Amino acid sequence: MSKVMSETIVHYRSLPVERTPQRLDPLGVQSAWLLVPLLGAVAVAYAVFSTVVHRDQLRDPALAGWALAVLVVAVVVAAVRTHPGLPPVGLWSHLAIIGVALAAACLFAAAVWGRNERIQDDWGQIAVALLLTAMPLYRPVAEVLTVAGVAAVVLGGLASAQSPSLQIANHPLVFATVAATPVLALACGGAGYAWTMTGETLRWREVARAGQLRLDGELRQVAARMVAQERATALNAEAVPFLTALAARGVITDEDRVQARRIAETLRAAAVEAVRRSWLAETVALALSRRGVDVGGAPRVDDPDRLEEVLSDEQRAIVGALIATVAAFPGLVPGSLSVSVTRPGSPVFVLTARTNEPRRALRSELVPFLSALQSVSMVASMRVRADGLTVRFAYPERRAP
Amino acid sequence: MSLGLPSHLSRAANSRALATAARWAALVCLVMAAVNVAVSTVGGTTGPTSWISTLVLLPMMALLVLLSRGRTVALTVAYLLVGAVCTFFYIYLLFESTPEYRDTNLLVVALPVVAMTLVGGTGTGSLVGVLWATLGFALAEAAVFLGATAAGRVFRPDAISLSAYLLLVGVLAFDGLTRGSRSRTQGAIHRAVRDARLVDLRRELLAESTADLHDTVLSELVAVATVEPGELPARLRQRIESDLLRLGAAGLPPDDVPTGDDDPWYESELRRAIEDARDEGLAVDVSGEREALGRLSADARRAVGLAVRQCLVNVLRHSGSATAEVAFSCGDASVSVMVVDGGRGFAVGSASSDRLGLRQSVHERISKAGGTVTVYSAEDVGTTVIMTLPVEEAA
Repeated sequence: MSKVMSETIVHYRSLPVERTPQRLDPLGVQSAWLLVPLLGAVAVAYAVFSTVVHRDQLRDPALAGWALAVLVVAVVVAAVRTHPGLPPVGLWSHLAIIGVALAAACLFAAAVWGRNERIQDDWGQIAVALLLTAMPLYRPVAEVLTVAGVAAVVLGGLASAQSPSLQIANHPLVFATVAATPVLALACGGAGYAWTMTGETLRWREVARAGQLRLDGELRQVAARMVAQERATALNAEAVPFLTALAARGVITDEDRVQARRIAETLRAAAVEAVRRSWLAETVALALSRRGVDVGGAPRVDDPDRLEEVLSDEQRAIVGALIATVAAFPGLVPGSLSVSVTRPGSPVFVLTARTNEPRRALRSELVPFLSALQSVSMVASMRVRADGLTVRFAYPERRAP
Repeated sequence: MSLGLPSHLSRAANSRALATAARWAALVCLVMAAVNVAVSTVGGTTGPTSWISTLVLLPMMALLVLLSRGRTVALTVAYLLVGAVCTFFYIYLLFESTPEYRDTNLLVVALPVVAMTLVGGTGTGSLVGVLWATLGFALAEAAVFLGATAAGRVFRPDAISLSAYLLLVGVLAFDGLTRGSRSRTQGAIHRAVRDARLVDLRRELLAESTADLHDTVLSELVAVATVEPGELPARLRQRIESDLLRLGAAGLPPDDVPTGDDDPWYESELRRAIEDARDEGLAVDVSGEREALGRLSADARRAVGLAVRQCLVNVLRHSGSATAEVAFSCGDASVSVMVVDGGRGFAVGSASSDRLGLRQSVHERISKAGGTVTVYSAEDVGTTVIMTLPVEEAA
């Protein structure tokens, strides 16, 4: 293995794994995505309702309108950024979503400043809280709780600063707790959900790993059967009939010598090719063999540097499932499925295939895999043309040291 | 290794996670209610008796902590009843000590209501959860009404607790509607995990087989290519005959490698059933004398395959278990296939409609093939289904 390859493997395998549902259960999070725009819509609807309720308390109606517009921006960013086609949601996306929502809450507070009668019917803390509820699906619990804490302090500070104008006379800190409570309660609720789900997922992984180990004996038998059948086919083609006839005759001719050399070379070349075949090539071959396609002939995987070895177990599972799914498309032209891998520093995998599957079907079948690949630290994209598709999945560019 | 929870486990896990979410949020509500009242008291806005209203929330918090250790119906009912009493006293004492609070449309009033609404139903499933939440909401609002009336205040419904109730109902409905929508992609990934290991093992065995090929057939072919024409040397002939003997008449590799061409297991319905269950994320162990399957007639093999499929579907749907075992054993005249799980189990005598598959797909199929089925199951212990079929006459 080359030095570049070793470095690449070490680099990409040592990337930290966040304990988030997005990272540990990407398919589950994909199915829950709709929750984000729904919560966002509830936040916007409540903000509009609350603004109407506050119409007599508005010091600056234009500012209240801007507050609503900024909230809509936060909701749209949250819905787009968490979409299954665009994972993962990073720290900066998280901060941007909550930061913009917090800015909207501040604008609303400014719009009613000095004329606000009650804190509890303001929409700022509710909107921030609703958006925070979904964030633990994508970001670590500690990070979400920290952001929630900061948001609670900001909103609580704004609320306590408004205490002189409020209808009920009370200690300013009481109003701070009124503003902070929805933020803290919903953020903690979301965090509790994410913590439990990730715990369950990690426990399941242990069970699955143990099950996989117990399955080894059975898989070994299947593998032995496959190898035995392949070898029998190869030997029965020429070598066994030739040696059987030779043993029966008991005489070697010049023709026999030539034929023996040719058979030996053919067998050796086939054996060497089989042993050298990479995991990726085997996976493509296995996937195509399941639809009865002869895997002999031209190689379908171009990976001269063996860059597939960078793939972790998780990534291999998703890539394997992706290839199996493409290979199973009824409209696939079987010989057209191929994978090429380039760039040893940051490996790039490109899968191409010709298929007449409808574009919509291709997207709905493959987007979950692309999303899962992105959740395990890869960059994935897909291009569908009239005559086929190209799926590109790559490791992110490494920054210069 | 697997990415995420399989669908059959995610339902229960999701329920538990929603329950935890609700308890964490409820606890924050109760703590913040106490903080709110404490700040108010320290700040001199409320009378010293308001401290007591903080203390009356403690039994609710204690029951909430107990509920987080394990939900039971009795504990949930206790939480709702104790919660209703606590809320009543909390509201009454709060209003008694705080003249500024004139009606019930206040966050500090809504907080225990939210805590009661959230906790009751989560962890029980969508529809039942909504009913529990409605009961909690109704009891809490009744307690607020009585407490406010006793303190001589006006009852005004607050938007906060109603919003919390609607939010919870929405989340439970969303959970109910989106369950199981991941299974297709996940099935492909579960299969790919097994395939990846199969490819690894195949490559390992291929390397061994190639070394063996090199030492035998290839070596002999090279020797033939290099000897002088004429009579086949006796030693070379011996080696060739020895190789051919090892390969067998059909030209197969060494005897210790099973070829399986005559093994009905690989093309059996039973194996397909097990593979399909594994695709769903169930870790299925196969043990015992698997080759006993070959002693059954083709019809019996198919019957037992379909019956095992139904058993595994039952494990996936009802047991909550992540693992199952399919064990084979054979006697002189019969073959037994046992499907075991360590899941929830059920009372065999009171098999409900959801066990229809067990009666129809398992009992009837096996009976038609001349076999018998025995089911052992106990709640929280697991289920064992033993199917015994007679061996084929010719076998």
